[in-house]
Amino acid sequence: MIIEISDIFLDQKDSKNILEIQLDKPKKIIDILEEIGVKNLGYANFYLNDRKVNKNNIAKNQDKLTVLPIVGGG
Amino acid sequence: MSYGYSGKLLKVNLTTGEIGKESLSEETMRKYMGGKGLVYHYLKDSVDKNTDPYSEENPLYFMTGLASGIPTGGTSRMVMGTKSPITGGFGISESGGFVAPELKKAGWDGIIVEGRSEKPVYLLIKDDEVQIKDASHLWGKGNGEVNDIIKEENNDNSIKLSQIGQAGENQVQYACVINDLKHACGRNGMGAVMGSKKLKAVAIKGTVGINFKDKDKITEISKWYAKYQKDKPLSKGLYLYGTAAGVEGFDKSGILPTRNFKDGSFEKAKEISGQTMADTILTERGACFACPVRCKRVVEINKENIKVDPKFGGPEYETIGSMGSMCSIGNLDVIAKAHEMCNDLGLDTISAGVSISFAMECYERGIIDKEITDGVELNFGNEEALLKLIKDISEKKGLGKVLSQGVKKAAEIFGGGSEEFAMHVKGQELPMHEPRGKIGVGLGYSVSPTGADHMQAAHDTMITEEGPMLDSVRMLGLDKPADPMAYGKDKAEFYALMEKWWGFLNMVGMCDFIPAPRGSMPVDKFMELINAATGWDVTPEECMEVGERGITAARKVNYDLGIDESHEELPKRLYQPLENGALKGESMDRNKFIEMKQYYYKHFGWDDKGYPTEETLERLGL
Ligand code: SF4
Repeated sequence: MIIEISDIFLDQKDSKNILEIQLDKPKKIIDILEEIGVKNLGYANFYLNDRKVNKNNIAKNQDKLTVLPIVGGG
Repeated sequence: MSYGYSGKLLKVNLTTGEIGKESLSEETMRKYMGGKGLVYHYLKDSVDKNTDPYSEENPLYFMTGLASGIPTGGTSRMVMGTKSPITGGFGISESGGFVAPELKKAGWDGIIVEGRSEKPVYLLIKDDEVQIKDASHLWGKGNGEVNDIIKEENNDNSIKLSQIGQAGENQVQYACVINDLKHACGRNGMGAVMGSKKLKAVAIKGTVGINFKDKDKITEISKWYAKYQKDKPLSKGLYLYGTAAGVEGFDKSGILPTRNFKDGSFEKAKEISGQTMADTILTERGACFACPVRCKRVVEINKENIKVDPKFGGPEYETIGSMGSMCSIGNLDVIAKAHEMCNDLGLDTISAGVSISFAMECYERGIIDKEITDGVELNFGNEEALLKLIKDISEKKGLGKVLSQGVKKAAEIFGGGSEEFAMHVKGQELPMHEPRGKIGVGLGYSVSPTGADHMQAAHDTMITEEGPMLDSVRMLGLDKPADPMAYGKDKAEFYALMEKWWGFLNMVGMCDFIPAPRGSMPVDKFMELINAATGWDVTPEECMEVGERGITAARKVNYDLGIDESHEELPKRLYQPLENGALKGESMDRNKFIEMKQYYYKHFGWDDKGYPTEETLERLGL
């Protein structure tokens, strides 16, 4: 699956914003992100194939997951 | 001796030229803690239903809070207050920056401006040396130029300045007050009232300093916080991409106000995002007083057809929404220019953008034509028209004259059913948050004493599930997350609790990006900070009561001024479906909304018309 993630959720400076991984079976979004080392997810919104979902939704290999922050103001 | 505040307010009467001082007792400060609480304390007996907001009887306040000036971050807030020319009621507007800490360093907790000067003046405050100075040579000039002149003629580049531009001089209803060119007390028409007093600027230099009870503790917390916040996603997001970090997220979620709230998604969202800004026109990440988060933007453009001066900072989310997606403009250069113009002219970007967006819709629907637009094709997306109208609004010229009165009045003038999509509450234009995807924000727009306002309470998209964010505010009494699309008692309570907390933050002078739940500073750490500054023993319970007092006090003033439940109507468009985006087809349910509002009233101990009961007023000492 393809994961596109805002760099504000990435701890390592050299982490990639877009990555492709292979899932051995469908998994919860939160588990997938934890497996790739993304834990600090305050203010994250999750989108599967551009549809807003929550972190417990199941993702499959052919899905595209996008993780974006939600913040506004000023 | 008082700690964390000086116990005195500067009092200036512009009619008589008298300069004096007003004492602030510990009892009053503990009861209100500053900000809108102090505005209430002084405004309640100063105006009535008949007071014309532009008359000399209407006072204008610049208030700080207990936290303003503690060198930790977020501690920069100033609250201005008056009888609002927009709503006719309790008016406040808050801003970060440097003015509030500087005023406190000069030995003042706030300024009360009364009366009206015959000729243009500015106020020069150097500690307790205060002068009313002639500003005839500054009148008619923009904020950028005036900023330079005042600093130069006083030989001091470090002076902090609150100013009005030509929009305030001309009493454009939503003229704002600009602080140090980059920060705005944007809402409720503070600049228009300042203009009516012929007060061009307040210039401040403070050298006395603030007396804190436990300086070592403050240093310890400040050092700890500077490190602690660094890797937290919100701080990181704000630092990297500013308040516009969420543009793409809002868009994908269907809650990016677009084309006058017809749509919830904008096809050019990426082009106007904080990320694109960082990759293109951003030159620096700025900050308010002592803040390590540094969410402020500084942009510069030096192209042949467009130039933007970095001294005005850069656009924030609200400006990007109101001048960008709302007007269907996907060009960040143009939005940055619009921001620069508004800061120089002293215009609230939210109200200006929403008013222009409204006019664009009126034009596309044939309600207004080229005769009214002065030959301009005022379709959505017309970049030149946006910039022209900003100027015309500030000069009250042509169509700009109509729009300078806001969308409520403009809809009355244009007719043709345009009132259906005039996006305001109590006359104040909606900020860039979509109630059809955040029902609690809709409740907030409706019940806010200042008209539609996004700064009253944490939004319901903030705590949508069990986890650390909910845990961070359990001690404030919140024990359930909020479903953004839900109505009912739980939603009313979520909103009310978060409103009390944010109400307290406004009063104490703290930016809501710093403490939980939005920021990373735990509630108890924040209490420690306040107590180190004051030597008091403030608890979260006390803070929630202070917040509640501020909310109820503002409501009481409004009802006394004739602004009551009948003024809480949401724009009709919100009861109609969104036309595109992830929430296409979603609309608000009016019956459920009214029922939720009753739960909200009950939570606060108000009657079914929203008026605080005698018992409630007594409990809160009002
Ligand atoms: S977080 Fe941003 S708005 Fe708040 S005080 Fe810091 S720099 Fe100012």
